[in-house]
Amino acid sequence: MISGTRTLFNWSLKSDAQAFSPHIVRLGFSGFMLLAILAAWADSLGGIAPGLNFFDWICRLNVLLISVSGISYFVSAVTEEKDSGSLALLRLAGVSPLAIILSKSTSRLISSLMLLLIQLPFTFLAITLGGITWQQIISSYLALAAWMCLVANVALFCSVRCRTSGRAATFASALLLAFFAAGPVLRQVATLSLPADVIQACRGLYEEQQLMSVVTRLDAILRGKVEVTFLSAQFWRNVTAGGGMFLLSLLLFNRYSDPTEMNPHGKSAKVRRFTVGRCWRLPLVWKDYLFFAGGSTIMLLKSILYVGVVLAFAWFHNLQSPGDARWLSSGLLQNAFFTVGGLLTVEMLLYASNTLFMEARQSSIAALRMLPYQTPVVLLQKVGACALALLPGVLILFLLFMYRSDVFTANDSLPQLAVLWLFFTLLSTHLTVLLSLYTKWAALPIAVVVSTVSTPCIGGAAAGLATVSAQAAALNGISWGMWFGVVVNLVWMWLFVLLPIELEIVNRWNRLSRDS
Amino acid sequence: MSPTYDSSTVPAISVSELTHSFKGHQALNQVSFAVMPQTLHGFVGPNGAGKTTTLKAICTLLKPNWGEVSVFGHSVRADPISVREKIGFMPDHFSMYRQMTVFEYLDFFAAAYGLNLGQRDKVIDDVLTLTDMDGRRNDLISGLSRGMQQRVSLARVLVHDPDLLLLDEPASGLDPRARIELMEILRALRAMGKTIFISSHILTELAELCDSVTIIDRGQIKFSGPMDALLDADDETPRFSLRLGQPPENAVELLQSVDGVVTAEQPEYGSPGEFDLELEAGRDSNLVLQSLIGLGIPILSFSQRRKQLNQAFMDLTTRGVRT
Repeated sequence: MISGTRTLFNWSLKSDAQAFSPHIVRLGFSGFMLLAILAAWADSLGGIAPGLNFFDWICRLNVLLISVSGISYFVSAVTEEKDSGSLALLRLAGVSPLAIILSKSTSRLISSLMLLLIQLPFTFLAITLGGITWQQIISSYLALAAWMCLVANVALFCSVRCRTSGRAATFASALLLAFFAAGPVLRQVATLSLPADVIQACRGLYEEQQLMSVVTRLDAILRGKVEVTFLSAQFWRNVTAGGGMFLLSLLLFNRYSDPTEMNPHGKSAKVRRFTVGRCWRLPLVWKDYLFFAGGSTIMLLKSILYVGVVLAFAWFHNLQSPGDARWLSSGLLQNAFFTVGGLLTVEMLLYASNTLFMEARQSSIAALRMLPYQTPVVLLQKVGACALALLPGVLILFLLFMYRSDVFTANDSLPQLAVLWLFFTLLSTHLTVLLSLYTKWAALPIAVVVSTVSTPCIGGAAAGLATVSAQAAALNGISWGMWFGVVVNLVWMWLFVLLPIELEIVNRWNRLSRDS
Repeated sequence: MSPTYDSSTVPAISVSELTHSFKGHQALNQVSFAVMPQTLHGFVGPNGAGKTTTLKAICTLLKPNWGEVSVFGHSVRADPISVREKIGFMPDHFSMYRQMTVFEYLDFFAAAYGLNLGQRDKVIDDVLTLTDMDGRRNDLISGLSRGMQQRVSLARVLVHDPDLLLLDEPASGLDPRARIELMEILRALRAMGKTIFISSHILTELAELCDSVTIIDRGQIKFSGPMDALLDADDETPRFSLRLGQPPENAVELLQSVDGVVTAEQPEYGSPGEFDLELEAGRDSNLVLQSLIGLGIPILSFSQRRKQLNQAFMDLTTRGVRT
C-alpha cells in the first residue's frame, strides 16, 4: 500500500515539476515581485518605511490569493475525479484513499507552498528598503504557510464531502466567509447587554478566532505589537486544524466516494419529482437559470440569506439602541450595505468561474455553437441567466439604498468607491470567465489576483476621472456631472479594458467548439 | 432504391478542394466530393484520416484554410446561420445536460431553434415516437443507458426537422441490439426524405445501409461515388460461390474442367460442399451454370460474390497509423 501511495504521490509531484505552466506561473509571480519592489523603491523616495509598506502589501495579497485558492484550486482536488466519473476507476484499481488524497490534494498544497517559497528571496530585498527585519519576514511566511495548510485541508474536506465541484466551492466559500465574519460579529455581540455567560462565551470564541486568524497574526508581526516569534499560536492552531481536517477527510473518504451517477445500463430510471416548466423564449437563460443557478429554490434560499443578514444588523441596532424608531443606524446601514455587496461580489465571481467552464466540462460547447445564433448572443443569454440569479442580492442592495439614501449620498467617497467596486467586479468576472476556458481550477484565484493588482493602477485612474468630472461639473454648476463622469468611466473601461477580454472570450469559445 | 437526379439538382453537400492544416499538420488536402439529396452517404477512413475535420467544416464549426463547402447551396463560410438551420449534427461523444429530463432537453433545443409551444409539443412527440423513447420522456438523462442517450441525442438533432443529418460515429459504444435498432431508425429517416451523412467504422453495416460512400485516407479522397460502383470495381474476372449437395471427392478437378471456369477451390474455412469459382472475363455466367448442372451433381446455390466494403477499404487505404 505504501509503495502505491508513494508512487502516485511521486508521480503527481514529478508531473508538476515537469509541466511547463506551473513554472510559468512561478516565473510570473517572481516578475510581479520585482515590479512590486520597483514600486516600493519609487515610494521610498518620498515616504517612510517603504520596505514595511511593500511587504505588508505582499502579505495581504498572499492572504487573498490563498483564501481564493481555497474555494477554487484546492476545493476541486477530489470532486474533479467525481465530476469526471474517474474516482470509481481509481478505487477499482486498488488506489487507497490516502494515495488519492496525497496525490490530488497534498501535491497541490506543496506546489502552492512553492509559490510562497519563491517570493522569499525577493522579499528579503524589502529589508534594504527599510522598516522591516528578517525575523518579521520569516514569521510572516510561516504564518502564511500555516494558513495555506488550513485552507487547503478545509477545502479538501469540502471536496471529499460534496458530490460536485460546484457544491464543494459553495461549501468552502461559506466556511471561509463564516471564519472571517466570526471575528467582527463576535466582537459586536460581546459589547451588547446580554447574559454574562453568553458574553463570556462570545469573548472566548472571539479570542480563539483571533488566535487562529492569519490577518491578526500578520498585523501583530508587521505593526510590532508583539515580540516576533517564528512559531506562534496561530501557526500551531492552523497546522493542527489543517491536520485534523486531513484526517477527517481520510476517515470519511470511503463514505462519500460513491460515484454520483453509476447507471451504465439504465436499469433504474431516475424521474424528477417536480417539473421546471416549459422552456422560455430565451432558451439559454431558461437552461442556465434552472440548471446552473439552481432556479427558484436557490433564489428563495438566497433571498432568505440576504434578508437574514440585514435582519441580523437590525437586531444589533435594536440591542444597541432599544428605543430607536429606525431599523438601522447610519453606520450599521453602511455595514449591511457593504456586507451584502461583498456577498454579491462572491456570488458573481462563482457564477463567472463556472458558467462557461461547465459547458466545456460537459463537452456541450459544440452543440450550443450549432444553434442558429451568433456566439455573442449565446454568451449574452448566459450572462442574462446569471443576472437573473443575482436579483435577490441586487434587490436587497437597492432596498437598503432606498431606505435611507441620504446616508449614502452624504458620503463623498461613494462615487469613487462605486467606480472602484464596479471596475474590480467587472474586470475580475471578465477575467474569470476567460481564464475558466483555459484552466481547470485556477481561473478564480488568478483573476482575483490580477484584478487586485490592476485595480490600483487602472481603477485608480477611473476613480480619479470620476472625481475630476464631479469637480469640473460642480465648478460649472452642472448637478449631474458626477454621474456623467461615471458614465464616461464605464464607456472608457468597457472600450479599452473589457471589450478586448470579451472578444478573446468569443474567440476562445469558438476555438473550443471545434476542438471538442 | 436511391432516387435519380438530373444535372440541375443542388447537392445536399458539396465539398470542393477543401484544405486544412493544424500547426503544420496537413489534415485535409484538396478534398472534393458531393452528396446528393435524400441519400444515405457513408464517410469512411482510418483513424486520423480527416473525417471529423471534414465533418466539422461541413457543420460550420471549423473555418477551413482553403476550399469551399456548401450545404443545399448555402456556403458554410458566408452563411453559417442558414446552414445550421438545415443540418442536424450529432458528434461522436455525448454532450448532454444530464440533469435535465428527456422532455426538457428536447424542449430546450426546440425552443432554441425558434419553435413555438404548439410546434414544440408536436415535434417532441414525433421524434420521441420515431426513436422509440416515448415511454421515457420524463426520465432524467443521467438515468438512461448509453443506447438510450444515443437515441435522445438523435432525437435532439431532429427537433428542427433538418434536411441533412451529419452523424459522427453514431454506433460507437453501442451493443449489437442498439446498433441494429439505430440502423433501422436511419433507414426510416431516409424513407422520410432526409439526407444522411454518416461517418462510421462499422463497414458491414454501412455497406448494407448506404447508397453512396466516400473513402478518405491521410487527408485525401480515395473514392467517392455510389456503393455499387465501389463494390463492383475491378471485377473483370467475376467470382462466384457454389454450394453442392453431395460433392464427389474429385469435385475440384470436375469443376475446373467446366468450360469458362478459370479456377475452382475450396475456401479455407468453408463447409465441404462450398467452392469458390473464378470465371473467364466476359463469360456468360448462365452458360457456365448450365454446364455445371450438366455435371449431374446437385447444386444448392450459385451466386456472384461481390467485393466486400472491408476489402475495398483495405485496398484503398494505407496500412499504419498516420504520423
